[in-house]
This record gives sequence, C-alpha cells and structure tokens, in this order.
Amino acid sequence: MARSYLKLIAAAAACVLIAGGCSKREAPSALAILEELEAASAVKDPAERVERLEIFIANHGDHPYRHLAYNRALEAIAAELKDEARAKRFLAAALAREIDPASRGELLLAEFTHLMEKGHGEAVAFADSLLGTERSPRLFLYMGYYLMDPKANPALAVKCFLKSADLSTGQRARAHAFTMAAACLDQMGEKEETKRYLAMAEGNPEADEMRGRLLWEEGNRAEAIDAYIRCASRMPGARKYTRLDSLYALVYPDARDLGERIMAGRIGDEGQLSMGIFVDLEGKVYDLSKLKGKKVVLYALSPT
Amino acid sequence: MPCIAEFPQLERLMQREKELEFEFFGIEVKGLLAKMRDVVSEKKTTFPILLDDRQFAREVLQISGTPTTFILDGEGRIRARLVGAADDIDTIIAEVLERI
Repeated sequence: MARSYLKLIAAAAACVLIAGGCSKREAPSALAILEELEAASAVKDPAERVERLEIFIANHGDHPYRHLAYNRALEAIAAELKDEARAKRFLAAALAREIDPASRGELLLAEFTHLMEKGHGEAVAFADSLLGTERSPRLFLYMGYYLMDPKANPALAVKCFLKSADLSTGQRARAHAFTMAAACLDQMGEKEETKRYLAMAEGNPEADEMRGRLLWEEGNRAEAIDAYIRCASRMPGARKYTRLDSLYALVYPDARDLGERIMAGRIGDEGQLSMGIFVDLEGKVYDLSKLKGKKVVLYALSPT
Repeated sequence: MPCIAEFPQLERLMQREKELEFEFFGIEVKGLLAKMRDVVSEKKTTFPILLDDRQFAREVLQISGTPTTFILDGEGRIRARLVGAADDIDTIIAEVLERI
C-alpha cells in the first residue's frame, strides 16, 4: 500500500512539473496514453495492476478513456483480489473526485452492472436513486437497456430512457432514447404511449421499424411499407429481418422499384462535418480536414 | 462482433478505392487499443484505424452503436449514415459513392 502511495505522489509531482512549465516536453499523444493504459492493464499481478491503473488515473485524470482504467482496476479489486470493501472505497473515492457527468456516469454504470449481477432488487433501487441527481445521458440509456428486461423493471427503464432523452444535447441521441422508451412501452402493451414517443423519435431507423410493424398490424400497409423503407435505407440489415421484400411484393405485386426506393432514402445531407486530426493504431497522423475534394468513408467500429 | 464480421466486405471495398475515388478510415470508438491491434493483426486489415481520443464518434457523430458508416462527399458533407451491419455493406457503400 505504501509503495502505491509513493508511486501516486511521484506521478502527481511529475504532472505538476509539466503543468508548471518546467519542462518543454510535449503532451503525450493519444496513442502514447492508450499504450500506457494497455501496459498497465496487461500487468499479470492484480495488485500491481491496480497500482499501475491508479497511476494512470492520477496522470490522466481528464482523459476521456480514464473510465477504462477505473473499470479495470475495479474489476481486479472485486473479481481477482476479491476485496469488496476495497472496491467500494475505490468507487467512492473516484466518485468524490469526478465532477464530469459523463465520467461519473461510467463509474455509476459499473456499480449498477455489478449490482445487476447480484440480483435486480438492489440495482433497481440504485438506478432509481440516481434519477434526481446524475446528468449523464449514457448512464440512463444503459441502465434502461438492462432494466427493460421484463424480469427487471421496465417501468423504471422507461423513466431512465426519458431521462436520457432529457439530458441528451444532440437530436440523434435524443431520438434514440425516445425510441428505446417506445420499445419498452411497446413491450409493456402501452400502444398509445408507444406511438407518443415514436413521434418524438423522428429520423431514428429503429423507430421506423417499430412504426412499420404497428402500422402493418393496424392494416395501414402502404404507410407501413414507407416506414420499413425509411428503416432499411438507414439500417441496411433491416431489409432482411423485416422481410421487407416479401411485404413489398404483397402490397405492390407488380412493382420492381424497391431497391431504388431504399437507395433514394439512403442519400441525404446532414451538413458539413468538421473532422480535424487523428492518430491511427501505429501513431501515424491523419489530418482529415485536408481531404476536401475527396469522398470519405468513415466506419465507426469497436473490436468487441 | 458485427464490426469485425464486416471486415472482409470492407477489404473488398478497399480494392475499389481508386476506381470510386474515396478514402476509407475506421475509427475505433471505445479506446480498446490492444484488442483492436489483435484484430488488425489477425484479419490482416489494410485500412487505417483511427483512435477516437476526443469522443468524436459519440459527441459529434452521435452514433448509437457500432458499426455505423458515414459517407461524405467531396465537400465534407455527410451524405449517408448507415447504422448496423449488413452482408452486402461493400455494395451498398459503393452504390452511395457512385451517386454522390
């Protein structure tokens, strides 16, 4: 433990020196920071790993991926060192330090998922207690995902999704949260409420899929097809699982224009994207703002 | 892993980079550097994968999940946003590129 504190003090001192302008060292690159995090995470001994992750947090307290360090340290303390009391202290200390809503949200989400693994009761009470105090739209969105399980608490999930919509600053994020609230209400058999929130989810392809299904059930087949086409335009995989081709052939037996209608719905204009400078996995720098005149495909992905 | 499952289609698309006059970039959105490097090495990926240390995908692009594909025209405007995976994603992207 003493060794751990010494390392933290040394790391903090290094930060002060750099911040104070004693060194002309440049700030570490995005890649160097992530490499530092991965090196700390790869340490075999869990106690040593936690120390290294704590140093990472001390050194990069404002880095957007610091929640990965928090989560990995928590996991090591709880699952490998099997020290529940220390995990709680670690989490409490981290929450006391973090004022950024998004970072607090990641920490609280870790606590929530941990509680969910133990059973729904405590997790539900925990989620409910956060509704009045926390400000992270992502926290409420993800708690909603877990709580919409019929065995959990779908009514609370709806509240979480609506809270997420309320806190989201972007129109798309808001539409996604409303879509999830509608999905939850639909699952609960609340048809009118489902439609109410679907109406607030304009532009979301999953909302269009739900609209299509409801309209089809009500016998509004042409409108249902329009909704399914909007969905498949923006969510290509939906063409297959909504069985759009078969439904289209039922409503328009002689038409051969489904592909063209989907493609027409695919192309729009969301406006100018300001991209700036990025670094790749090997440290190569790309200034995407210099690509003017060239078409660009940007593929947002995750390896999990 | 729906994103990784699409890699063969994306590599197929990359072979048409010159013909369709576009540049392709992956952007890893969760900060999982080691896992991403493992995948790149295993799949022998040829396209660049950028690190998202500014939470650009979440804050600016407002993605709700991965994969999400954005197709930009020569003016830097987002002309298509494709959510989720599809077996024929390469054909779909190529068709959009041909039309914008």
